[in-house]
Amino acid sequence: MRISARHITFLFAFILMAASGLFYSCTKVININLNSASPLPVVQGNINNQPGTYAVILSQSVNFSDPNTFPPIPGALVTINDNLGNIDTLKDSIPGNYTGHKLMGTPGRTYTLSISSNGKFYAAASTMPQPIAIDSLTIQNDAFSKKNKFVVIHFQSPQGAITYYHFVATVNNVTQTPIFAFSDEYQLGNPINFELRSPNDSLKIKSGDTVMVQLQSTDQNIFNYYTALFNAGGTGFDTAPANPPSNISNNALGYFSAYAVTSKTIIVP
Amino acid sequence: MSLFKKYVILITLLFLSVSSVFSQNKFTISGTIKDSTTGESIIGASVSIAELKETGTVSNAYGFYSLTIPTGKYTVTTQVIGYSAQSVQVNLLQNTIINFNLSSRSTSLKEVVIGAEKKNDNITNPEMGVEKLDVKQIAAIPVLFGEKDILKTLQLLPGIESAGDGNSGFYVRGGGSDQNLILLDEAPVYDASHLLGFFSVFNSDAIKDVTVYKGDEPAQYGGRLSSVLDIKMNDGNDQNYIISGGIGLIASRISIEGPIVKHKGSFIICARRTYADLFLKLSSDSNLNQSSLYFYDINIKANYELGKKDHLYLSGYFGKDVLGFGNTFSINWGNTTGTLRWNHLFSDKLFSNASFIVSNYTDNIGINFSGTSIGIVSRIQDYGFKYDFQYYMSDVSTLNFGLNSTYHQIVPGEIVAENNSQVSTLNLTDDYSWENSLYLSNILKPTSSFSLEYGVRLTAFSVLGPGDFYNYNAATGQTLDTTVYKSGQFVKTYINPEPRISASYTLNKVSSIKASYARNTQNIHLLNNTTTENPTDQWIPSTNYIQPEISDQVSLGYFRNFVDNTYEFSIEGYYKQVQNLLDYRDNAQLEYNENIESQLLFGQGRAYGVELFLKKKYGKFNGWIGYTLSSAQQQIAGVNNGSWYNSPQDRPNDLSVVGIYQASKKWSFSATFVYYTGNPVTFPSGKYDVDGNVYFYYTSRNGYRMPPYSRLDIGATVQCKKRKNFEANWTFSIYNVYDRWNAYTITFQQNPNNTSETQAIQTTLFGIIPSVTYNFKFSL
Repeated sequence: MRISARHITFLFAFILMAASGLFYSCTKVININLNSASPLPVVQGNINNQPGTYAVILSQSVNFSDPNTFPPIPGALVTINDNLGNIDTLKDSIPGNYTGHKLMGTPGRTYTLSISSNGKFYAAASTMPQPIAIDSLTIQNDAFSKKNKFVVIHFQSPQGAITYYHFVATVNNVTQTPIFAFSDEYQLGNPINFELRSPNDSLKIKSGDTVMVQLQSTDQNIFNYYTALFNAGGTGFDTAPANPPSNISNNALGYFSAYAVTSKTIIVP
Repeated sequence: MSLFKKYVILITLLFLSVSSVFSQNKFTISGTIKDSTTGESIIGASVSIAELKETGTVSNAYGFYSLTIPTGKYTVTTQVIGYSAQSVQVNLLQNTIINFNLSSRSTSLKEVVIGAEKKNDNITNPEMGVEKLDVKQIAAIPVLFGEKDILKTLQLLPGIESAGDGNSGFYVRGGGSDQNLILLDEAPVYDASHLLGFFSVFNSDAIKDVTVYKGDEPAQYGGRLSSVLDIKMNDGNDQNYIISGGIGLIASRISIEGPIVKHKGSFIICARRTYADLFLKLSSDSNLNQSSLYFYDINIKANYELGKKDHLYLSGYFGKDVLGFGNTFSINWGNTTGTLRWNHLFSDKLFSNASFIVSNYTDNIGINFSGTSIGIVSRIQDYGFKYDFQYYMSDVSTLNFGLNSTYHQIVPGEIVAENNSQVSTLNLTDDYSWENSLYLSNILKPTSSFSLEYGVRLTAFSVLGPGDFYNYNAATGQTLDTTVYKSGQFVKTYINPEPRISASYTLNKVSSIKASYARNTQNIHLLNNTTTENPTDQWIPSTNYIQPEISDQVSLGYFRNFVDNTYEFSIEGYYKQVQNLLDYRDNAQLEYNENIESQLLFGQGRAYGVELFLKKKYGKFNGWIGYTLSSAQQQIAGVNNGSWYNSPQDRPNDLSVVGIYQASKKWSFSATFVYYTGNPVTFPSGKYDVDGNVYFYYTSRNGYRMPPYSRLDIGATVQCKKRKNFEANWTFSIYNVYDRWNAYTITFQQNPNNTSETQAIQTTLFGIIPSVTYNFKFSL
């Protein structure tokens, strides 16, 4: 089994979580007064190399004590253009959910997202890399608790420049929320077996499930964003929290990603 | 003022003080001060001449003193707290050696011993910002789990603040935990905590003396910005064999000491181990019952008097913590230190000590699964040589000078694996550096009411190859260039002079004012951006990119004793400024990162405060109250838009109250109360949704505070009937008597019972914990 730098990071996370779990400690829910911040726009923008619809979702942040409903931002002017002058204006038939299909996402091009809403202007740029072929998917058993299974995706890292990956898993057509961001910096040109596991084990699969894994190759900004988002989910380190580095200007939260996608499906035996 | 001018002024002052030496026929009284029962040398005993009110000195770290006065008939008296004073008559016609063997005397005896004067050297000593812990006194203050702990007791003094529950780290005057130089018999100890911070590595049975300098230490110390914690081990009883120890709920300890040759040499071995993991073996869960959780430490010391002028000391410390989960992974870490010291008296007035020092801190992570086992090692290793001289030049002046050379090797991460050859490419580059210092200082007492200690320490820190050295864009962290250096090549040398000066003016027998200024440089930095300390936190030296951190501190204090020196009161104010202070980028990746320097940001810091202290030293009831009002902030380019923000160590209010009551010869009681403001922390100010998950939004780093911390502990010790060669006592204690759930961490999550809301979860480490320990001592 190949050891990678990612294993090292997991090692730290596992050890420290286990260590803190071994000690006697009490937890309780507390009431805490947190400041309110004025709502900030949150952008989830994606465009890929598949024909069809692409979407940019605009919502707002809320105060900590509010319920988890995040109001959409309707009526904004949202456009995406590529570096060859093609431009599309997206429309929100569902408020806050802006879609378009005019542009054909092409690897190598740089896409720019522009948003104008409530008198403020936000922009982001993302360059779509080349797609990476998936060799296969396999299912393996967890060494720590033998009942748990996880998916491994096998692919070949291209020689030369670093490729950044974002894996998204769907189980029985339900998109799973754990984040998998990876960089092949230390394994350029090698075959890679990436395990879709996270320290808090939230990607659960069992026999009979249909699992589809998307391999998104993204630019470095999006890799940095998803890596920070993954750490924000709590890896047991208690690091001083901070906002993930968004590639959107003017203090908007979220991301805009132009990625090339390939996918494969497996049924868990 | 240029460096050269500073040196000229220093030399001139020295000559002025030397000139008084040549005016009369003078002789030297010198000798060693020891405990009459155990043979332990006594540090800091004052030696005075009744007939010469302005003359006096203090025994040094090895119990040696020297006083040069004109020929005549004198009464030489030595006294120190915890011992009966002793006087000797001498007709001084030639250099004379007078050794003292003092009998220990409890300060709680009701009857007044005729002629015994209570000590007021807190008034007359020019050193300020110093705390000395009487190790015998802390025996009455039990802390967590009933185990006595020097570091935790120190944190009950003003200006020295606990980093929090489950944390042996401490903050001195607003500085971070890595800004404290911890020395055990002169060897630096890099991680002074066991079990992720619940205990310190110091077994108080092995310790003789603990002195803390809060930033204004004399010139013979250097290397950290905020404090020096100088801990000296016991030498061992040089007359009788003693076996002592204790059995407690969590840990047990044993000490064996005795003479090598009576009155000439002795040894001591102290060992301690916890057995918390025995409880894990009772679990039915196979992961738990194969887990391990323990630490041990061993202190060894031997000393031998080679002749009247030479004495050899050998000290060692070995400690290890082991944490293992099932048989799949484990982590262990520990310090090893060793010191070989040779005292040599060149003359009655010139004392020297040469030390050879090694210190090593290593942590090992091991993982075992799917037939593969890999380990990650990281370590810091020091090899050092120190040569210190004390020249008791005249009755008004003592010169301290010397040199210190230390070679540091840091292995940030090295992978050891079976079945995998590719792994060595993941090793991080090792760091090599060489730290050299020279110092010279003078303790001058020109009149009976004014004393001055001034000097300078000159430090040269050299960054060495082999390795790749990078430069980064400070704003983005991108690597700008790489330079490769070969083994032994000098990459960069930082030279920093550190002036030190402190003065005391005695207003009258019971009060004085003191002032001091010190500059400190720090070239070894600990990287940690978590709310708790981890054994895997990495040490990093200054490099071509990381500049030395430099602090300047001024302090001013008023000291007053009451009721015939029974009560000591002081109020000390300080102001400290730090340059090249380190902080971290948002989302810094510090774990196993070859380009870890790219995650650092630099700026400045400032801290100021007032420390109030009232202590009762004598009588059946004694103790102290310490209160610190302070502030620590920093300004770092790239954090909080470059505005000043609270340092993680900012602690506006910190109160400690300690009381010890010796009810009778059999029973003593103690109580400790602490209260302090919570540490600055980063909490969310909002939340939002990305890709189906809720994330929290942060407006500023350290913009919030943890809730305040408070705790009351009580303890009682009952002495068993003393038999001929055997003593024992039982210590009962209750930690956190009113069971306050102090916050260890506060985290935020979606409510598992209601995913439409988020909640804050507080974790507490220690509720109310009772404990009992049995302590024993055999004399053979």
